Amino acid sequence: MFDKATLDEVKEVKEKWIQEYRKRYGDKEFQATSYSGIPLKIAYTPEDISDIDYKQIGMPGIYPYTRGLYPMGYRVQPWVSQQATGYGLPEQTRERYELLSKEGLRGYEGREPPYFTGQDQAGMLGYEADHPVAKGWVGMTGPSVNTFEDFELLYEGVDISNRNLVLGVFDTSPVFLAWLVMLAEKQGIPLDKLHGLSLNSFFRQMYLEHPSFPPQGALKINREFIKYCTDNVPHWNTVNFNMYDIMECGGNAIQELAFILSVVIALCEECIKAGLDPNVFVTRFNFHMAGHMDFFETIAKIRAVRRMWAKIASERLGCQNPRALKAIINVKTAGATYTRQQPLNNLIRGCLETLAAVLGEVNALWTTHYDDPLAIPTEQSAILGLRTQQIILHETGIPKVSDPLAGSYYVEWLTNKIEEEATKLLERIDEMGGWVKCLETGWFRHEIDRGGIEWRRSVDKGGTVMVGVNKFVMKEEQKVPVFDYPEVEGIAIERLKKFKEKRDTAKTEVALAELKKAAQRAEEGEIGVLMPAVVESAKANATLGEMMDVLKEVFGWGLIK
Amino acid sequence: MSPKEKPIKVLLSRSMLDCHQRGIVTVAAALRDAGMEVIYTRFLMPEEVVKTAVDEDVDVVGLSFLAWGQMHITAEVTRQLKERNMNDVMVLVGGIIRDEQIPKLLEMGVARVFGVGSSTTEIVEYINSQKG
Repeated sequence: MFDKATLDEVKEVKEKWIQEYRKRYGDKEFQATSYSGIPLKIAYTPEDISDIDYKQIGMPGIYPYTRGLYPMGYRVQPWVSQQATGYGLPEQTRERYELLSKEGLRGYEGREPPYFTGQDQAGMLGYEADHPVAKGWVGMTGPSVNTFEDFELLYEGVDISNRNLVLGVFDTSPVFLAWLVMLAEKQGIPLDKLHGLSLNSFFRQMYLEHPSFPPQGALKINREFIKYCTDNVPHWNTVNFNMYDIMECGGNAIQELAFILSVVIALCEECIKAGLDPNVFVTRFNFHMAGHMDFFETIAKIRAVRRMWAKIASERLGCQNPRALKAIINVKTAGATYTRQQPLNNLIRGCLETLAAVLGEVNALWTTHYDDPLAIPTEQSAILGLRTQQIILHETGIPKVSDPLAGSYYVEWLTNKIEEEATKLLERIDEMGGWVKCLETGWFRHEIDRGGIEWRRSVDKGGTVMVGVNKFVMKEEQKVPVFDYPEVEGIAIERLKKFKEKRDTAKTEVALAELKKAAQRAEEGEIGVLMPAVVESAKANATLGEMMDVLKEVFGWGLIK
Repeated sequence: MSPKEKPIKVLLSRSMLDCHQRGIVTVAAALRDAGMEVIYTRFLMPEEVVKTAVDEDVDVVGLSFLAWGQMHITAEVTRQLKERNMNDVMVLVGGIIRDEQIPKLLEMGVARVFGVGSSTTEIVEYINSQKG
């Protein structure tokens, strides 16, 4: 990227710098690495990026999208503020969310703010409010949503045709989408007017110890899910590839990229095998990354993943549609970097991590609330998360220029380095048999857990500094208000009971028997049979647990090991 | 580690409803490094924890909660341990625990609560001091 005269000048100046350095410090070296263990120099020069072809950096909105997805950057489409929240009963979650909307949550250009809610911990795994396993967990960290009536209540008064609806659920994604389809049909809204995203992290056992469908079954269910959305709900984003939790669980930025790209590839191959067109279904994928405390590493990895994905989608998966080559990235600031000690410090961490994400030109942002290590957010802390983004957007001037760090010797070098290392790691995963194999053998978990354990050892020894935890500790802890969950278990159970009493149970049972047959056919490889049967079961008033039980029975369910 | 013939036997367990394993996995590694015998399980119902504690005749039960569940599950585990005359078993709780929950957990029979940010050294030293 630089001519010989420039590189000669660099050499000359660098020589002076080395002399200056030696004069002061002799042979002493001051070694440093990034959070992910990449050795760093003291300063970077054109020499470090002299072999980069400018086309690899490019311009915003131009392949390989290193500098962002849109030619006008944030001037036309600033990032979407995608704060999530939820607790208690559906109406309590809705009230909280609408408070955030009123406080200026940003949607996509020309659209209302997003609407991002999930379900409680029991519901996530398909256990309804009255299930013995759910005791003590109902309405915790998400609303209790067991039936279509609960779902309807969650969206009461929400214009579902003009909001970016994020269904913050995992393996229950087919059920929630079926309910959304029902709701749209009931309100006379054509399905192509629905925009939004299912979190749908069917692959999460690669980093989380959380029961799920086994990998082969999960791929089949999601092939079905994607097929149905492509044909019926064409603007629905089907999978949010959650890379975020890899670093939350102890992994590093290189693993974050390589591990997740391996599952994207596995799902694409499953869908292509089933005859689906990657030029269509790939355009509906999102990537969810961690805004971490290593500032430049966060910026570089976001730029690197866009470039890597553009190459993989075109070269490996054969996509020609430019939209399929663009990795839509949403970032959440990293909960694992927040501390319970001196919790107000987390506002500063959240601000820096948000800034790094903005400098990385992400498409959506969720600034984790400062009281995350204590509870779900209070009203005040939820609003402060949003305000962090608004101050950066409106007051700093940063978003006026797209990818402002492009051309920085360090940032370009680090972007390259991360891409290079992640590409090597992805090749290693391929050699080991790909995503399914590495998940089944527990290799992903082993690698990630090891990172987490080493990190903790380093914190305990003081090598890794956490302000307020192992350095600058205060005897008197800062007191901040903590959110208190309302008691809703009784009400949720009562609503579920009434729902079941009212319905025509014989009709429900017929639909569930049909669902089982459809699931078995899908399991055996038939394409396009599963989701219509889920929708029919939902219409026959089957409940969350009833539909999930059928899927668990047919596709298997549990922890990997 | 104190010179003892049999290592201290610890059951670490967490609910499968809670997807946060990083804390307990880290504690398990630290206890193993300190020479303890660690059994690590995941459960859906609290009785599963008690059954393992009885079957394995453990010295310590450590429960971890990041998302929720701490009050109901700990109450059940401590109550059922008492029912089975497992009074010698020391119960520890870790994770996101609110200040006002600590006295209630201690009242249930929990020996000590190690909240977010506790060092692993602190946990090892405490177990050794009580069971070593």
